[in-house]
Parts: sequence; structure tokens; C-alpha cells
Amino acid sequence: MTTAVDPVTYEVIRHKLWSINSEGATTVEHVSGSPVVHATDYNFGIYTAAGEMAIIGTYLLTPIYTGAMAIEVFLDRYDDIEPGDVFIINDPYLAAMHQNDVQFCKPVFRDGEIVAWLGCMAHQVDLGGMDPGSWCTTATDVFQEGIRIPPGRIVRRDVLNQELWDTIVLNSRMHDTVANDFRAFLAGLRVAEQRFHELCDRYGAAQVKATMERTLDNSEAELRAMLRELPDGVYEHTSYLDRPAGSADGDIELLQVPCRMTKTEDRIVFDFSDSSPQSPAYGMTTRGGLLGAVATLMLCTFGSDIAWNHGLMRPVEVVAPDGLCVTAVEPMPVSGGAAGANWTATCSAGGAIAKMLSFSEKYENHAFGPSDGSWQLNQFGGIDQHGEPFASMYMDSLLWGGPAFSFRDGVDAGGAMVILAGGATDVEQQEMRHPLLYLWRRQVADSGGAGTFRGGNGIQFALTPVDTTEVTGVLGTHGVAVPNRTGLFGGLPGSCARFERVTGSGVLDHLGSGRPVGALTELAGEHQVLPGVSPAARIAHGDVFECTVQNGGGYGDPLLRDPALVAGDVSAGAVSLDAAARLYGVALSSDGAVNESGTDSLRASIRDARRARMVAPVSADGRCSGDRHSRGIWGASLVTFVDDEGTRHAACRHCDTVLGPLGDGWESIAGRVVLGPEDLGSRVDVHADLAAVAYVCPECVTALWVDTEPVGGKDWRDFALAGGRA
Amino acid sequence: MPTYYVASDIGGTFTDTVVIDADGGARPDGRAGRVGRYKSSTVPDNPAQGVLDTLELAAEERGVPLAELLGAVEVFAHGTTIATNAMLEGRTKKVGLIQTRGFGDTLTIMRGFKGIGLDEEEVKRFRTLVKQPAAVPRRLTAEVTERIDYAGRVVCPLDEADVRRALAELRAAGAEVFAVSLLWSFANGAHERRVAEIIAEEVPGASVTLSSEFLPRIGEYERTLTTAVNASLRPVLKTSLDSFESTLSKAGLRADPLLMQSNGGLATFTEVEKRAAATVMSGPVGGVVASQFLGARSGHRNVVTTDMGGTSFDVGLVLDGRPVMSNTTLIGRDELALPSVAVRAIGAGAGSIASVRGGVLQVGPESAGARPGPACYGRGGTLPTVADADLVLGYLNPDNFLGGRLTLDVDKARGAIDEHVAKPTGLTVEQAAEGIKTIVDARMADLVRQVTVEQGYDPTDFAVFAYGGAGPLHAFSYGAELGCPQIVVPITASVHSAFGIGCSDLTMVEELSKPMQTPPGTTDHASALPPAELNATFDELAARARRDLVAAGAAEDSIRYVRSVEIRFRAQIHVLTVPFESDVLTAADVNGMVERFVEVYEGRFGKGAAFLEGGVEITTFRVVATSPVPRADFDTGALGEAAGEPGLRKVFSGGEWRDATVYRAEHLHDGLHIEGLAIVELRDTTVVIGPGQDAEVDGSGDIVIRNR
Repeated sequence: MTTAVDPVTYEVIRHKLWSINSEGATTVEHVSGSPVVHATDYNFGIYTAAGEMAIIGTYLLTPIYTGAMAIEVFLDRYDDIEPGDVFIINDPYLAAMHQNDVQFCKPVFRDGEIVAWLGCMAHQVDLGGMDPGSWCTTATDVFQEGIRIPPGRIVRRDVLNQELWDTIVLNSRMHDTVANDFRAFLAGLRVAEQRFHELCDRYGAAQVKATMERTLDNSEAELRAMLRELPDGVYEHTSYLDRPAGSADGDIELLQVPCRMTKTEDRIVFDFSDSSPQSPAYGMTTRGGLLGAVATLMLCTFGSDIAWNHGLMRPVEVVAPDGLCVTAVEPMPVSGGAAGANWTATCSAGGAIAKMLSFSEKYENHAFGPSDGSWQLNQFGGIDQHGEPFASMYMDSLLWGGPAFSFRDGVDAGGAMVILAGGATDVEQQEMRHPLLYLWRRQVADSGGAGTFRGGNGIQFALTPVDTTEVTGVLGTHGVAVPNRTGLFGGLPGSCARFERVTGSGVLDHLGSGRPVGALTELAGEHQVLPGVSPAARIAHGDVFECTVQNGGGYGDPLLRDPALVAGDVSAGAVSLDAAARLYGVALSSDGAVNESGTDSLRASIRDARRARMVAPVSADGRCSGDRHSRGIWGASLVTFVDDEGTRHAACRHCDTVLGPLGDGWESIAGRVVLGPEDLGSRVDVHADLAAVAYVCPECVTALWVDTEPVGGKDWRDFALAGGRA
Repeated sequence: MPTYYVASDIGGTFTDTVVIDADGGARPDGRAGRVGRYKSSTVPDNPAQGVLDTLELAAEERGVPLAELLGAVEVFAHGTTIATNAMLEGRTKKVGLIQTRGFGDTLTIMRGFKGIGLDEEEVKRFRTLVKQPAAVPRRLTAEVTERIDYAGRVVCPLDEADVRRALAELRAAGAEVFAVSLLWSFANGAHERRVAEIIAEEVPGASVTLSSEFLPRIGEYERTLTTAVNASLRPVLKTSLDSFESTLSKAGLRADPLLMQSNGGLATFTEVEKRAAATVMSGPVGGVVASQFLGARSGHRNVVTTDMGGTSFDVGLVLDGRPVMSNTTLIGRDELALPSVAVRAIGAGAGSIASVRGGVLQVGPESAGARPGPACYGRGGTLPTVADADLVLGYLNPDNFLGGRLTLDVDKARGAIDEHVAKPTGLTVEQAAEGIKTIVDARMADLVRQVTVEQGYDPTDFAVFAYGGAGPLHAFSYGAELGCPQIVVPITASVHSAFGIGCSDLTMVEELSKPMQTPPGTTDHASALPPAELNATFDELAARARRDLVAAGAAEDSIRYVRSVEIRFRAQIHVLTVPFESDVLTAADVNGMVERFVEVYEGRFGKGAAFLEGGVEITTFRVVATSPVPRADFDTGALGEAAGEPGLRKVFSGGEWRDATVYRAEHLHDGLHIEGLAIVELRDTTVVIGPGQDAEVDGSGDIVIRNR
């Protein structure tokens, strides 16, 4: 039986739970002092007695769900849980994204009964394994990676389990830092538990429990109400993970992570069953990573106006058998599981959600394309300018561009969804500590996907060693051979990731003689694009290393972007003159103002060219009889309606031309244009197995959707609405 | 001949002024050194007028003409929102910004942060989470070829032709003033100085701010932002202060006016013109300084200052007699790298709106502001606010609000609460009103707790000082919830910031980043941080501060210096500011400083948090130089005339209507004991003593509330 709690007490307790959670988090951050923790790769949460998330802050979100999974495991395996116990786990196959993420959880007892759990997690700088930092990019099984901690008790009835503690700490290359983080966990849990007890003393445990339950129930009810406003159906999106094939010729292979999302009334099922099987190489993720991907999206799409808690996951089911690249099991290597196929899953599930939300005029502004392409690992190590060893993960690669929305451009350089409030450090702070001089850290023009609203541009930074002979880079990313950040409704994909190196550039002599360096192309030496996974890239004195991040996709056909906005982008350096003309069809006069007649004719000629290349739809019969009923929209692209006979049709939202019935998928009634490099942004590479394709209105040739799909055509549909004949 | 010491706080709505009569003051009551308190509406385009209006009231009270009073003012200090408003409203000069080639996107990249200055609710709403516009748009930023490295060495010489080209580009783009912020300029300012010379040649008379002179601190984002903001504000502040000064001097003021800085100290107009960005918190910090000052008199070394106004609740801390400082100043969504008295705010004030969503009652952060304001103001507001709840519950006297200048409408307040809170929740109007108050009080208590805990302290070790329009009414509740032993409503509560401005010293802060590390495993820290080197840096900063203070009229021997460093463990992130005890440092002082750093660090972040084995890193040296401003002895003592018995009023508290004793200002006298539930109605303030609390009026006229 649930206890009733009056609205005033409810709000007071709710706010106090937040305050307890942030006090716990503050304590962890303070005691830890680890730079990774400072970059918000940690979290603190209050969970219900059953292990559901009650309070979640805006930390790095991808591992947010593993706390709940961990508590489930503890409750399942232990029937002697007692006050004063603190549990620990990092086993990625059970409840973590990778071994670095160590989770501590503590049950809170009142009158002999668990009333809540407190949990905290932080990425540990090193837990052993074949590579410093424990990102083992060349591992072929889990036993070459960091230590795996099964569910257990690090504190038993308030007594520290010293043997377990020492075992873990000894297996780290950074004993002290790990021990310090563990102490931080215990301090944070202690503070939060004490405050939680004070809250129960004052209001009664029953009221506190009831408040937690009700926050979950409220969020669940609001989400279900929102889901009922959206059409039932199946929504699909596919994203790819590219990685070195391991062959000598530098071939790149593709893994696929399709998401088939079925929405029925107030429930959603995310089905990843068709994902590529697991394989013994970098990029695998476990179920913890997959659930984290889905949970992150549920929070950031549906949860933008709803309180964040487990209520947002209650109507959600995630389907995927074990043994896929998104549900890897022993002995697959998973140390990169925090930055592998789980990101690809975020992209595909994000695309599917956007396709559904866009059927609602109320919620189309909630939709956004794949938001975060890949975590581009840039870890450098060597001897620093003080003669001491150093190892540092450069957070600069967090500065990617955000996705565009139906009403705004993506955020430039810092558009991440997975870390809403995070960022990077100053160049000067980095140069003070590490022997690498930045040549530039700048936003890259045209790196966001063009669109009616453009994707956010991201950064590029270049480094050269100073006061040291060489440094070694551990580099890892996907998205170098295919853009993960596709756009929505005709918006183009954002640029791909890239690592590049120039050896023997003589850059310091170049600068010393007063000559500026504006780009790598201005440097002598040997130029080389490095593979996405480069476990030991040598960067010697005189070499230059450059990293360019993956960026946001656009929203809507770029030809429909307000020319004045394009002119502003050009003047701000966000869009080049070339892209303004080639992708946006905007002509500018020499003073930078829009040349209107020039723009009109440019845009007309781009449309003509599209029309000439268009493969017309097979079923080009746009006729339908009688009145139009149940009018709806699909984002910027389609108007849908049901005719007198009950058949659902689609018309182009731009020119209102009826395209035809939706029965065989909207793709079959749209024109198709295969895009070449000249149609895409300058930094978009499309793997040979894939093609970038624009689906266009056969009448006005406005781009309605741009995607990457298998060269032979795609075997999924963007949507198939339930009911009726479509 | 009477003389006066005057301080004003020119806020967005009201101008508050305190006038202290020095010996021989001609107040009707004949008491010298009393603190007169005056309030008038702020005149936004003529801030001096609001000040003159309050002084007119002071002159009237004393029976002297305004010009005579002004002529007898020894010291005039004030706080202003000129810089704040200019910045928030974008009424600043167009800055042309010059940066190192390759780094012209520093401001727009913003280090990637898009949530600074936003609360959790706004951060979690991804679809509307965007960066604020950059302080300088990209087209007004130019890169020049040059590069200096971390050791101050020239990696690439300055290309002077490129500078001239950049200037032409910036002028064509409409630059009116210039800011220069090159990488590592604080380690070697030669390139910036040369750029300034070229600007002087190319654009004679142009206003130029160099980061190496204005803010020689490590961290190019905040240094560049702050330098650019400063450049954009300087001409605005100068114009405004010139006109302010001439208006007051025409009216008869002979003293040179002083201005409050965000760091809690005063400066002359000449000085603040160079450091305009250092005045953005000019007003709000006064209250913390006042609390420090009054706290010291009444023996409160640790104080939580709570200022509850119309839209926000601001919390500051006084620790061991000193205001807690922040190394940065948050203004809107920008964080400037200028030290300020730390003040944390949440959207909880008298105007905070109560609403019900999904059966859940919430208060704030939306505010009804001054217009339309709470429903009870009768200015068209229809949504229920905290002030409406206070009125319905009987805490506010409808006829004694703002000294009777505004009559509150109880029916409108009841109507708004009934419609928007009581009906949707099924509560009575009174229960709903008490619910609103309970929630807002709890939120304020949670913030105070957070602010103290984040510093590593327990709120029960602090006295709460409550001021601002609504603080004295709500403090009994949030103070009690925190378990603070004493809640103090100072006699100056309604003009507390102005009073604090009058208590401040002339202050000059000089800083320089000069990173120095100790190798891992160091035990004798002085060996890696040679005292001679530290002394040389500090002496240079002290000399600069001295020069400026002397120019501001300070006597050289009156100046006190506090030398401190920003220091951290090399493996960690958090920087603490640690002062030195002596002026000339020895090896023992340096080692002592590191020991104290460890102590303070563990005090704040927990035992075992320190990681000394990894070595320490000093980043920035700072000298804070102060010189006292002449100040009259004053006497804020209560002036009871014991005119009749206190009254009674019904107050809804704890779910029922109860009798509350109602005191008025004339009832107050030294040692008066008040038993809660009671209300004290002062001219501009309502103080509540809760059930289960007692209060005493002390010799200063402050009301000290204690839990029984």
C-alpha cells in the first residue's frame, strides 16, 4: 500500500532529495579531484528499494543506466544484504559499459528494510590491462584488458573489505588515484546516507518512499500520455560502425546497428536484433552500453520537459539477443565499450525516435538527428617538459557540433547530448602541463551538415611536440569512413572524424621564421591520414598531429535556408563561399550581402540538376479520390492524409503535390538521387559499400530525406504506420 | 560644523541611501552618529537623480537645504548597476578583438560549455540548450600571426603588417574600441604591447585594453572574454560616471565619489574606468560586506548572508570574519575571471509564482517581477506569488508595505491563490498559502545548506543574517530549518547593501599568473618555490597596487597588503587561494603555506583528499591592497519610545489561525525580549519571530532570533 503524501510535503521532500543527491555528487567530485571526474564522467544517484532511478543529474549520460542494472544484480545474487554494506561492480557483461567504470552502491535501511539505494560511478583513470589508461584498442579478448570486478561487497557491515580493495588498487597503474576515487565514493555515499536518514527522521520513511514512487509514477504517466499522442507504427534507422579490417592494405570494414522501434499505444520496443554479430576487436559494447544508449535518448528527447527518473524507462523494452556487437558477451574485448557500438546505437535509435516525433505538429520540434557520432579518443603519453612521465586524455574532441532541429541550428563546438554540461580545458592549461604546442584550435567551416537549419560545426586542433623528443598517441574512433551524424528531412550529414599526421614538417622552424601555418597542406613532410584505431601513433619532434571531430547533421533541404542566414554564416566563417553556392545555392555580392536574383537562378539550376539525375519513383501515380481526412505531417517533408477509401497517402509538404499511397513505404513514392562528393560537405566520406542518397519530391525536387544506405538499396523503411492500409 | 558620510546602492527599482551624521550631527533627536536610512525610486537614465531624491529626504529630516548637506559630505560611496545593465542589455561599445593566429574562435568555442549560468532544469532540456552569443561576434575578431609558448618564449614573431591588416579589417567591420588577448601574453606581454603601439598609430586615440595589463592570468578563454567585456564597458561606464559626478557636483557635492567593485572594495572613478568589468556585481556584494561589518561588532565570525528580494534569493558567506571570495564573477551566462565576493542565487523571491502541474505544487523560478508584480500589488498581476501568500497568511500588513506607499489587496491575493493553487490541489486558501511559503522556505534552506556544505562547513556553525525586501519575514523559517543558532535581522536590513558600501575600504587587486611546480615527492617545497622568486613577484604586484591606491588618495602607510597564491595539487583540478601571513617570505613561510593549503583543502574536500606526493602547482600570484576610507563612528542603536502596548494580529501558521504580537519600530529598545509568534513592523521591513522562537533587540538595534 502506498502512503499518501500531500502536495506541499511532496515538493519539499522532492527538492530535498535533489539537494541530497547533489551533496553526494559534490562530495565525490571534491574528494576525487580526478580530471576525468571533473569532466563529469561520473554520476551519483538515488534509487528506489527495487533499484529504479529516482534522482538523476545531468552528468555524462551514457553510463546512467548501469547503476540500476547493478542494483538488480546485487538484489538477485545476495539474500544477506545488511545495513553498512557497500557493493561494488565493474563487470561490463553484467552492469557497466567498460571496466574503467566502477560502480559503488549502498542500501539505505530503515527499520530493517531497504527503503532506497544510493549509487555512484566514476571512470577510473587506469585499471590495468595491456595499455595505459585501460582503453585496450588492440585487445582480442577481455583477459587482455583491465581487471574485471564481479558483484561483491567492498564494505561489509561498515567494515572495509581490505583484501578486495587492495586487489583492485594493485591492479591499477595509478594506485593512488584509484584509491582516492574509491575513498571519494565512500565519502559521498556516507554523506548522502546521513542526509537521507535525516529526511526520514523528519518526514517518516513512508513519506520519503512515497515521494520517490510518485516522482517515478508522474514521469511515467506524462511519458505515456505523450506516447499516446504519437502514431502507432514501426520506425527504423540504421547507423554504421567502421573500423580497420585488420588487413595490411588499410581496408575499413563496416558493422551495422539498425534500430527497429515499434510504438504501440503507450509503449515502445527498441529492437536491435539485426545488428552485426560480436567480433574480437575494438568497438564492441555490452548490454549495459546498449541500455545506456536508449536511456540517454529517452531522457534527452521525451524527458526535456518531464522530470528525469526511471519512470521514463518503464514503458520501454530493449530487444537484442546476446552475442551481437551491441550485446557482447565473454570473452569479447569491451574496454572500448564506452565509445563503440553503443554510440552507433544512440545514432540509430535517435534517428528512429526523430522519425516518430516528427508525425506530431506538437512534438516535431523535439526531434533531432543522431546527436553524438563517436568519442574520439586522443590519449597522449611520454615524457613532459619537466622531465616527468605524463599520460593525458585530451577532452578537446568533445567539442563537436550539435544536431539541427526544426527551428534552430545545431550548437557549434560543444553540441554534445551525452554530456549536456561538459566542456574542455583552455589551450594554456594544456600547454602548461603537457609538452604539446597547439597550432590551432578552431571551428571548421562547413563541418556541420547543411540544411534549412544547419548542423553545428565542430573543431579541429593540431599539436606539435615541444621540449620533448616524441609523444605517443592512443587514438580510437569510428565515423572516419561514414558519417554517423545523418540529417533529418533533407538536411545533409555532418563531416566525418579524422586523425592526420605530418612527419618531418619542420613546423617550428617555419613559425620561427615568421611564416604562419594555416593548414597542414602548407607544411612540408610526409602527410598521412591515420586509421580510426591507432594504438601507438608516434608523434616526434617536428611532426604535427591533427584531430577533426564528427559533426551535426542538418535539418531540411539546404536550398530552403533563409539566404540572409547563409550570408551571416559566411561572414562569421561558419560556411564557406563555395558551400554557400554549391550546397545552399546562395549567391553573395562582394560586400557579403545576398544577391537575390543570383540566388534564385543558382537554386533553380541546382534543382534542375537534381531533376536530371533523379530516379523517378516506380509508383508515380499521385492521383487519389475524394476528400482528404485525418491530415497529418511528417516533419518538414510530408503531409499525410486518408482518402475516402481509407488509404493513407502522402503529399510533399513543400509543394503539396500528392506523391501516392504509403502502403509500400514512403521511399517508393519519392524520387531518388544518389549524392556524390559535390553534393555533400567537403569532409564527408562515404564507404564504398554505402551510398549517400537523397529522397526527393518528384515534382519540386526538394530533398525530403538524405541518408547513407547500402549501395544495393536499403532493406528497411523509415516508418510503417499501424492501422488502415498504410 | 556637521559632516556626513553617505553611501547609496542604486538598484534596478530602488535607490537606497544611508547617511551617517558625524560628531556634531544636527539630527532632531540630538544623537550623533546615527544611521539615517532613505529609499527612493531609481531613475534609470539618470541614476544621480535617485541619489539626490534620497538625500533630499535626509536634508528635510535634518532641516538643512540639500546643497548644504551635500557640501558637508566627507565621503560619498555608491554601488551601481550601470555595467551590469549595459552588459545584460547589450548596450556596450563594439569591440574589435585581436587574437593569436589559429585561436580566433576562442570566444565562440567557449570551451564547449553550453550550460554556464543555467539551472538543472534548463540544462536537461536539450532542444533549447544553446550557447549564449559570444561576447564578440566572429566577424569582429581578427587573428594576427605571432605565437608565444608556455615559457614565454617567442615561437613565431609578431607580423606587424598583419596587425595593420587586421586593424583595417576590424574597423571596416565596425569596431569602436579594441581588446587584445594573445596566447601566453601574461608570460610575455611584448607582442600585446607592440600591437597597442600599432593601434595608436593606426587609430589615434582609440580605447585599447590589453589582456597582459588588465588581467595577466592563465586561461585564454576567460582572460579573453573578460578583457573584451571590459573593453566594451569602459566607454559606457565612463560616460555614465562623468554625468553622475557632474550632476552631484552641480548639486553641491565636493567629495570625490567612490564606486563599489565586485570584490567588495571601493575605488575611485579614475581607477574603475580602467576596470569597468570589475563593477558588474557592484550592488549585491554590499550586503555581504555589511554583514561582515556588523557581524564583527556583535561577535559573529561566521555568517551566512541571505538576501531575499523580489525575484531572487542571494546567499553569501563570511568565514572567520572575511567574506568568501570567488575567483570569478558570474554575470548572466558569462563567467568573468575577476575576483568577486561569492554570491549564489536561485529564483526564489517575493515575486516567485506558484503553480500546480500534474497535482504537484511548485514555486518559482518564474517571477512576476515588479510589473505586473504579485496579485496583491493590484498592478494587473493575476498569478499567485510568495508575497500573496505572505499577505493571506497575515504576515504582511496591507497598510504598511513599502512604508505605506503601496496598499496591498488581500482579496486579489486570496483570489489568485484560490484559483491557481487551492482549487487544483483541493486545499483551502490558507493551507495553499502556507504550502507556498513552506516550499519556498525549504528551497532557500536547501540552497544555504548547499553553499555552506560546498565550502566544507556545517550550516549550524553559522549565524544567518537576513535582509532584502522579504528576507526578514522568511528567515525565521529557513533559519530554523537549517538549525542555525541565531538569525539576525540587522537594523539596516532595508538598506543593507548601501550600508555595506559605506563600510568598505579602498581596494586594489593585482594579479599575475606565473606557473611554478614542485616535482613529485617534494618535501621541502621552498626548494622548488624559491622565496626570493616569490618575493620579487609579490613586490612587483604590491608596488603596482600601492601606486594606484596612492593616486586614489590613500596615505602610503595606511595601506595593508594580503599576498596570496592560487595553488593546487598537480594531479588535481581544484584551485584554492591561500594567503601568506607575512610580507617578506622565508623558506618557512613557503612550507607553511603548503601545509595550510593541505589543511584547507582537506577541510573543504575531506580528509585524505590531498595528494601532496604528486607535487603542487602555483598558477597565480595575487596582492590585495586595502586602505580604510575615513568613516564616522556610528550608532545604529534602537530608539524605543515605548509608545503603548504592542498589538495583536491573526496569523495562519501550522495549519491554524494564531495570535501574533505586533510590534512597531517605536516599541524597540535595547534588551527588548520578544516571544514568538510575533511580528515586528519596521518602516520598510516586516520581521517575523516564529512560534517556538524568542528574539532580543540588541544594543545595535539588530533583532536576534533564537530557537527556544
